Amino acid sequence: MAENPPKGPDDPTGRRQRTKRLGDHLRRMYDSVASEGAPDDFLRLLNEADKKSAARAGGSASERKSTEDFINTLNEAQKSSKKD
Amino acid sequence: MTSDTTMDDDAFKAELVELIPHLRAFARSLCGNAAQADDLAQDAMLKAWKARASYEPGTNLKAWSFTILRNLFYSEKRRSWRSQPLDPEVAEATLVANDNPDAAIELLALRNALSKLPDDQREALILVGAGGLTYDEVAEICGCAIGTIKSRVSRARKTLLELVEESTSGFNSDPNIQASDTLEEIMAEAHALSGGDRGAG
Repeated sequence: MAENPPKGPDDPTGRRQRTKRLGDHLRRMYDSVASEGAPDDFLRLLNEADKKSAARAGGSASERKSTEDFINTLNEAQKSSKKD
Repeated sequence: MTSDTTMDDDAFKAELVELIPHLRAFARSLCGNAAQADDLAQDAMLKAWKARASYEPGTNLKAWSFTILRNLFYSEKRRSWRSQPLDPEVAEATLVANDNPDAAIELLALRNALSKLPDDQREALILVGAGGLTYDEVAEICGCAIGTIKSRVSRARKTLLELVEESTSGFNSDPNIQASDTLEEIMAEAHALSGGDRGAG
């Protein structure tokens, strides 16, 4: 039940309800895409990039600009050696 | 792990995968067109992956990756995609997703109205209103003050409401929507608003 029936387009209650409905629609629009999950082509692309960076990390000096990157390099080398 | 200055690649990847649905949804709201939106979301995902060393663990990966997506969108002038007409595929999906016909028409009106909003207002409204981000996070993503985001969201809501009301009260740019449907929608909505009898539906 509506607390106060709206009297017209300028009625504050009606306006608030309409704003709320727009908000609901907005969320539904966003969720309709978000609820589709992660499509296969996204996962494939990310996996390819992961493999590529793991392979490159062994040879390229530019990949080791900092200590952080160097740690990454070690992690990646470890991971790729574990791969079957 | 949280004390580390870098994040394990696998952990980063897992978190990024979790965010793919959100990257797609945000991209769709910016581009309108489904295929181009996915293209943008994929680019953003790959860019985030490449830049993973610069991500600080424990901070907000969602806001961080949204910033990347947004920057890509604007730097590559993809905003021109926005001028494209409503994607029929999206429109159809929108209709199918709703068993309530007047809600579906309103949703179409909303899509049209959204495309007429200034870019900065649209993104602020979508991020806050649908993406579940805080004003603080959106301010970070858009690179401006919280007050600016608040005012953009408020202006966007006002404009959107006006535009939707305008289009559902007669004029509609979508030729697929018949005038009679629009009238029915107004009547149904007026009925629902005054009677509140739609609770069961």
